[in-house]
Amino acid sequence: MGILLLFCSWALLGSGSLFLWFLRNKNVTHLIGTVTVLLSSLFTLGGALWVLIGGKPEEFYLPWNVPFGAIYLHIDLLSAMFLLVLSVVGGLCALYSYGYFSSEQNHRALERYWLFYFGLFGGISLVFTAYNGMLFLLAWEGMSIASFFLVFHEYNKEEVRKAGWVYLIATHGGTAFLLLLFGILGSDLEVCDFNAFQYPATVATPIFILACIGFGTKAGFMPLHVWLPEAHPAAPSPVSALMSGVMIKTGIYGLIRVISWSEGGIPLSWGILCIGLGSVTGVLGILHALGKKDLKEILAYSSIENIGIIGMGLGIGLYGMSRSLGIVALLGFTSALFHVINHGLLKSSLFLSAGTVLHATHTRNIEELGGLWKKLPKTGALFGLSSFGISGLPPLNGFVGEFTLFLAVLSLSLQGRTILDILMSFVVLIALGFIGAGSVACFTRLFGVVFLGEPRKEIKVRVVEGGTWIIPLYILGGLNLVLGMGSIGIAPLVFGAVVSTLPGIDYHTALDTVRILRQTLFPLGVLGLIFLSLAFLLSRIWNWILKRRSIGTSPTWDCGYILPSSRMQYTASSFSQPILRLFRRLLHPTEFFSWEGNIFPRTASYAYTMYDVIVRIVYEPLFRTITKIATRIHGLQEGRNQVYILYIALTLIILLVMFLGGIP
Amino acid sequence: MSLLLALVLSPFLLGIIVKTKAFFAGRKGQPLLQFYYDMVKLLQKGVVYSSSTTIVFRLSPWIALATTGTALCILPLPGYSGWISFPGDFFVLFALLAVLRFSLVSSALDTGSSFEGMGASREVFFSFLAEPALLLSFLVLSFSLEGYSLKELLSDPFSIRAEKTVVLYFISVSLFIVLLAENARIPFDDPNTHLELTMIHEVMVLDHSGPDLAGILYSSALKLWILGSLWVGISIPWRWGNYFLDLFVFLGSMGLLAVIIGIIESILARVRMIRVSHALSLATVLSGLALLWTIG
Repeated sequence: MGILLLFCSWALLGSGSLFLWFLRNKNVTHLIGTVTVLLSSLFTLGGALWVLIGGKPEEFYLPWNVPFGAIYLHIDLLSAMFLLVLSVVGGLCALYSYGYFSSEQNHRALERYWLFYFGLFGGISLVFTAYNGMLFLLAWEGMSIASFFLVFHEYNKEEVRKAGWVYLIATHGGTAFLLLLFGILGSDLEVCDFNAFQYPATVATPIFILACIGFGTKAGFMPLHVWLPEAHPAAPSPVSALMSGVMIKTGIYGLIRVISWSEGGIPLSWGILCIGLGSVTGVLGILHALGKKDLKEILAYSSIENIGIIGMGLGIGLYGMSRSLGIVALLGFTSALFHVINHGLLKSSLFLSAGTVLHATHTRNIEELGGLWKKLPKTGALFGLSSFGISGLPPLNGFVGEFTLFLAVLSLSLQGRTILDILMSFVVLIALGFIGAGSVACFTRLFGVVFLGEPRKEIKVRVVEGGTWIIPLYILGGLNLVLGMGSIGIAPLVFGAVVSTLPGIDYHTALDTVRILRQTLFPLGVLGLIFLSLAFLLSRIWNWILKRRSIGTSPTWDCGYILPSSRMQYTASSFSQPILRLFRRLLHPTEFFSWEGNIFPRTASYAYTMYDVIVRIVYEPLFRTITKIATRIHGLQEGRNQVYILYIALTLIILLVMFLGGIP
Repeated sequence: MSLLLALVLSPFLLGIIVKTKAFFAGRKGQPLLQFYYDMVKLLQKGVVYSSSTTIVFRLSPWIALATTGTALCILPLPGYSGWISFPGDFFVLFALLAVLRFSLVSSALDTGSSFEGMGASREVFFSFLAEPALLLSFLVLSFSLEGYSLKELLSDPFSIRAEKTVVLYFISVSLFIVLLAENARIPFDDPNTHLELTMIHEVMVLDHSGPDLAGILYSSALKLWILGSLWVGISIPWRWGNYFLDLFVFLGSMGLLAVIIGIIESILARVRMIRVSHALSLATVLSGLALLWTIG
C-alpha cells in the first residue's frame, strides 16, 4: 500500500510533466505545477505514514536488463522517516512557489521551473526508496541534475552561473566517489541489490571513507561544503529551502545505509573520523555564518553547522557501536535522525521567509536591511520563531536533537570511562558549547539586523504577506512548536527507524534506551508547557497592570543625544566583530579601517570581508598546484608536427628497447 | 519550598552584595531591602516604549521571567530533588539561560540604539566563551560523581574519591568565574556604572521602563540565584539529611556567596574589555585541568 501510494505520486509527477508540455497559458502552467507537487507530496506523505505507523517494510521487485540493475524499491522505517520530511517540506515549498513566481512573466521559465521541481521531488523520493545500487545512482544523478537546473533558474545573472557550475562540479565529484563505492560493494555480485551488500572488515575502512567523501559532499561536511554557500544564495528561495531542508539530508541517509551494511564490527576509527568531521564542520560553520553578510549565505552556513551536529550524532553512534555501548550508539543515531527532521523543517521555514524578504526588498545584503518587522509583521514573527528554534533553544524542536546528543555524550563518558571515551565526549561537548552560543549569536544577529530596529537604508518594500506567501510558514512554524513540545510523540518513530536499521542491537539495550528517552523527553515537553503557560500568564498579568498605567511613546533613549539616525545603529559587522576578532588567526577576516581627523574624527569607517577558510587553505593551494603542474607540462605541447613525430619516434624506440631488454 | 524561597529571597542577595561593598567603602549604604522598594516603585510606574520597537521588545520581560521560572522548576535544593528532575536536566537549565539571552539581545536590537547593540554584541561574545566552560565543568562533575542529573550531582559532592577532591576546587573556581561573567558582575561588567560605553548587561535594558524594567531586574536576580545555588551546591558540600538544617545551611551559604561577590567587587577593578576573553578562558582551562585530573 505504501509503495502503491508512492507509485501514484510518481505517476502524478510524470503525467504532470507531460501535461506541462502542452500548456500554453502561463497561469494554468503555474497552477498545474503547484497542484501536481502538492498532490504527489500528499501521496508520499500517505505512503510514509502508512509504513511508519504499520511498522512493516514494503517492497517491490522487477528485473531490469541494465547490468547490475533491478527495479527494486523498498520502504523501511528509515526511508519512511526521510520521505516524511520530504513530503512536508517539498509540498510546502511548492505551495510557496505559487506566490513566489506569481509575477513571473516568462512562460518558458515557469515551465522549466516546474519540470525540474518535479524531477527534484521525484528524484529525492526515489533516492530514499531505491534498494538497488544502479537504481539508486540513477535517482541520485537525476536529483543532482534537476537541482542543478533549479539553481541555474536565473541563468542570465553572472553569479548564478558561477554558483551553478561550482555546484555541478562538486556534486559530480561526489558521485564519482559513489560510483567507486558501489563498484567495490557490488564487485562480485550479479545484481547490486542493497540487501546483498555486505562488506567484511578488511575493506570496511576504504568503503567508509569513500562513503564519507561521496555522501559528505552532498551533505556538506567540511571541507566538502564549498558548493552550499554558493548554490543556496543563487537558487530561488523555495529551491534553497527544499535543497537545504531535504536534499542535503540524502547524504546523511546514504551514510546511515552504508553503516547498516557493515558486517563484523565497526572500527573505532570511523566514529573518531565522524566526530572530528562533525565538530569541525559545526564550529567552522557557525563561525562563518557569523562572518557573512548575505542573508541566504548565512543560512547556508548555518545548514553546514547543523550538518555538523548531525555528523557528531552519527559519530557518537558509530563510536558507541564499536565500543559496544549499545545505549550510546542508539542515542547518538537517534539524535542525528531527530536533527535531520527538525533541521529540515526549521531551515526550510527560514529560507522561505528569506525569500519573502528578498522579494520585498530585492537585496540579500543584511547591512542594507532593518526594521522589516513593521512592514512584514507575520513573516518577521515566523522568522523570529524559526531563528529561535534553530539556535537550539527549548521549547522549540531544534533543541531536541542537541539534547539527545548531549545525553549520548553523557552516557558515553559515564559508561565508557576510558581516556579515549572522555576525549570524544570532551570534543563533542566543547563543540556543542561553541555551536550553541554561536548560533544564538548568529541568529539574534540575523533576526535583529533584518527585522528589528530601524531601516539602515531607504528601500522601497513591497509588502507580500498574503495567501501562499505565509501559509507554508504558518504550517512550518506550527510543526516546529508541536515537534519541540511533543518530541516524546515522534520519538518512537525515530527510534524505530534507528533500531530497525542498525545491525546487532540486542533487545535489552533497546529497551533501556527507550526508558532513557521516555525519562527525558517527557519532562522536556512538560517544561515547555510550563514555560509557555508562564509566559502567557505573565502577559495577562502585565496587561492587567498596564491597563491602569500611562503608556508613552518616545524615540529610543540614546543617552541624551537628540538626533538619532538609523546609520548609528549597530550593524551586522559590528555585532559579530568581537567573536571574529577572537578567531582572527583562524578566519583571517580582511579588515578595512579608516580614520580621518585627529582626536575628533571627521569620518571613520570600518568594514571587513571574510573568505571561506577551507577554500583559502585547501582548495586555492590545491588548484594553484594543479595549474602550476599543468603549465609546466604544457611546454610539451609544442604545436609543430615535427616535434610530435619526434615524440612518437622516441616512444617507439623506448618500447623497442624495453621489448628487446625483456621487460614485459 | 525552596522554589518559594528563591522567588522571595533572590533580590535579597543583591542587597547583601551592596551592603558588603558599602562596608568596604566605609559608607552606610542602601538599606538591605532597597531592591524590593525599587521593584515596588517600578511596578507602580507607567511605561514608555520606543517608537522603534515592536512586540519583541514587549515580550522580553515575560520571556525573561518565564525562563527563570521554568529553570527554578529544575533547580534542586542541594541534597534534594528539584520539582522536575531527569537525566541531563542541567543541559536544559543552561539552554533556558540561553533563551533568556536570546530574548534580551533581541529586545536590545529592537530599539535600534547603538549602545544597546553594543551591549548585545558583548553579551553574546561573553556567552560564547562562558558556555563551553559551563558545559565542560558539568561534564567533569557528572563523570567524577557518576550522576546524570542535578539532583545526583549536588546531593553529595564528597562522595567523590578522596584523591579526586582537587577536581571540586577547580570546578568551583571555574563556575565562580562563569557566574560572575553571566551575571554581569565585576570584573566583567560593573552593575553600578552609569557610563553606557562600559556596560554590558545594564546597557541592554536602557529602554525598558516601569513594570518591564522591574520584570527584567527581577529575572536577573533570579538568574544570580540559580547560578549561585549551583555554585553553592558544589562548593559547600556538607549535607545533614535534615531538610530544615540543610535549607538553613544553604541559605547561609547563599549569603556567604553574596558577601564574597561583594568583597570581590570592592577589591577588584573591572578588567579591560579585551582582557575579558582571557579571564573567561581561564574558566575553560580550569575545567579542562579538572578533566585531566579525573582521567589521570
